[in-house]
Amino acid sequence: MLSKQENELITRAGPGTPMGELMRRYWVPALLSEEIPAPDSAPVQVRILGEDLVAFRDTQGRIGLLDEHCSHRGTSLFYGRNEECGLRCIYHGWKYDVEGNVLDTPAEPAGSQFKNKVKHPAYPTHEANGIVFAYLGPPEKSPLFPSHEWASVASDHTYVTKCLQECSYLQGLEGECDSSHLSFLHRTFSLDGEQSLYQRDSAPAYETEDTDFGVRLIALRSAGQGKTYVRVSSFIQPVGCAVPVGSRGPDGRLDGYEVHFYTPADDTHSWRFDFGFRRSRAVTEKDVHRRLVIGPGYQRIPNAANHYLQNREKQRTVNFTGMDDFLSHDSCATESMGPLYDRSREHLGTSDKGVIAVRRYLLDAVKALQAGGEPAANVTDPVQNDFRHADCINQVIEGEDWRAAFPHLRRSRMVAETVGAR
Amino acid sequence: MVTKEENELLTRTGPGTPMGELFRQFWLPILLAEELPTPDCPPVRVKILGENLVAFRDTAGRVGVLDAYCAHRGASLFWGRNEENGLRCVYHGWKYDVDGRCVDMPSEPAESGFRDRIRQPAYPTREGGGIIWVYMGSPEQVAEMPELEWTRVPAPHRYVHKRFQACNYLQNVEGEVDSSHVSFLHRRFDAPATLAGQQLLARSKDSSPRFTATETDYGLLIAARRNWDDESYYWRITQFLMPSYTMIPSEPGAPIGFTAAVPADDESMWGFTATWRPDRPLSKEDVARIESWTGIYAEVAPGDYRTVANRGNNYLIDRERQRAESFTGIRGIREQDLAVQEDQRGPITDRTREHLGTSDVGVVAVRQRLLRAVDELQRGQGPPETHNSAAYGVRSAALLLKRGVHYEQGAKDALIADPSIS
Repeated sequence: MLSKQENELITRAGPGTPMGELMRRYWVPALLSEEIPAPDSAPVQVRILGEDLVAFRDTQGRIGLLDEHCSHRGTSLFYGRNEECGLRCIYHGWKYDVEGNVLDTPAEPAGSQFKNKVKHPAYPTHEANGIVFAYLGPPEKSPLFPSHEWASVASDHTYVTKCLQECSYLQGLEGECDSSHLSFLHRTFSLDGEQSLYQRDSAPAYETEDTDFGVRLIALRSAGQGKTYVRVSSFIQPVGCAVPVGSRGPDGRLDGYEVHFYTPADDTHSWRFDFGFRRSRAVTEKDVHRRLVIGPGYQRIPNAANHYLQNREKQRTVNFTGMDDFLSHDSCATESMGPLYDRSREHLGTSDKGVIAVRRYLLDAVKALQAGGEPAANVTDPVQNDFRHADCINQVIEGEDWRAAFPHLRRSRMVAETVGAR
Repeated sequence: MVTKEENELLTRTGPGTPMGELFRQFWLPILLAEELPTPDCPPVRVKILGENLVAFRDTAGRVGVLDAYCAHRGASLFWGRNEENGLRCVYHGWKYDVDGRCVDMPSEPAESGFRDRIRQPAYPTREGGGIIWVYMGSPEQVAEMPELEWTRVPAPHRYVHKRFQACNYLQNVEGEVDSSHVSFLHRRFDAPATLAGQQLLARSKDSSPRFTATETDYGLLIAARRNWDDESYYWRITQFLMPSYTMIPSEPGAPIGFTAAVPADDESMWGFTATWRPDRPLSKEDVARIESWTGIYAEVAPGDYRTVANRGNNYLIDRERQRAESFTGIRGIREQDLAVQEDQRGPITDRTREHLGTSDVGVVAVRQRLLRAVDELQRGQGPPETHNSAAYGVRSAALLLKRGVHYEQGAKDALIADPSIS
């Protein structure tokens, strides 16, 4: 449960809000590379953190992310001409480069210096394995792009999808940090594959620990015969969660994991980015099953307007929800809470430990920034830019000591070791 | 750039607003005559200046414009029965004539005098130029009908049209007086054979015109001068006529264009467009050219006057055509205007955030003219244009003049309506 004030503080991320200011201090997913596939391809509209932006890839392949509305008289640059290293407004021909410099004001007299006096709002971007990340904060405060394992694997070993969530970012993010719902929301009655592992024990023991990337979330289920089924996820500040899903590798261990990001579009909509990778092999279409349920404009085909295509007969006989895919399960559960859930009215139990820890982490980070501190979990020193310890686990171990079984899961990077090795 | 307060003043036209009061001093186009084709035909809804109204043509052919909601208990008169010289509410049968008198109240006892004490709000109307006009100001000093040439020529000499536009009226007016944008927004890369009366524009190389705006008895005369050759300038001369009318410059001998931007509410408007030939009927070719919808007329859906190209379908922009054929890849001139005007940072642009250059002289002059008229009205001085109907007898022009010739002299004959037409 949160107070009404805390609920406002944690959910409002538009310009000028405390959470909005915090999120602007991180690299957040803005769009997919596939939306602007080639140099001089058509620009696209991007709404994130309550701001209307336009993204384009210029002639040299550089990405620009600009205020959608022309500095001259506010016309949308989405309709603009993307040509010769710049985006040109169709109203009076003003042209901007990827950094927001005004290259041309052809409606002004030759020799006019007007263009040198105008700077169009523009944000830096970083492209990593199919996702274009953006930094919307003060330029001098930009952190390094964090070096996670998933960002550095070969691109053919990765996949990513995006879809619109019709609710606050936090509702989606909370679902990722909540291992408990796997035993219910995603239950199938057939008990094949890994289903049996998390259905055998529907009241796991939970642990959380703060780390230098966010919060590690551990769920421990009894697997019988003195064994423990360990699932470890990682909340990655500010809108990501790495979750232990995907196929197993030749060694029987998880062959990678997925990172799910929820970038606020505005306070009642978010963009869900689902990124995944395999360590041992290139991905196939089968790995990207979500693509089948995402339609034009990155809207999910099963959605609130069609009751997520729920089938009541299927709900009786096949699975817990009567809906086919995980994406629909998650969306139904989180969107049906309402576009901006009032957390002063909920009743949290012990199974909500992960959710509570993540909220507290976010609220602490907001309050620290408001008090003049620096944003949690950012790195500016290249030597320290290593987040390989933010790994995910999906494995049965002997006994209960998950720390001993997975020593690479640390609270922070091994800076001394790294430095020493150089 | 204007202040926030000025922007509010300029854009708000609902009942009781200063700009709304100014608009209410003028006769305004409200419907096409074709919308009320015959006596006792079905009534139509119409929203104007933020007021919900209903219009009907009674048995004698008179047009009534009434508050849409019955004085009794607020049912919509749109459902009403238009019969025997009055519009009868379907709820309890109250019946109103075109002046808003309650002529029957069958739900009350026959001897009741209640009927005589009821007055449904009603506005006087006129018909002219294939358009129904309404006057919503104080009944004591009803304005004169403006003597616009196209309203006075025989019907076969003109073409009239209306469209719904999803933005504040001023964004449309600003576009009409802004000659600068035609060099960009409306540029075609192929021969502009479809643009009758704009052959000079098509050949013009100068995209940064010099503007002059002059006060007149009807509003403003706005002249844009482009370099042509060593001896001549190319002039485009546009009138802004109070409160929100403009003329579109075309070359001598070509049909002339008129536009009106009438607020429906603060975020939408009705665009009326007329084209006429003073001296002869429009030819089949003239009409065919209009109905190709490539020029200043947008194609609208039959019956509801919504544009076929609209924000919901990105104005049917074709990025391949944008590369090869035209600056925008959007079909018609009006459709191109819609794309830029309907979203200038939203339907009501924030004029404190823009950057105006020398090419925006006409835009600035119109704003100042309107703000001055509002100021004068608030100090008790009605707009003089409302009692100077003859001043509206003007035409726009696009022509070449020798460099030494002042445009008001050189274009004198082209800029006045034929006084013999009445």
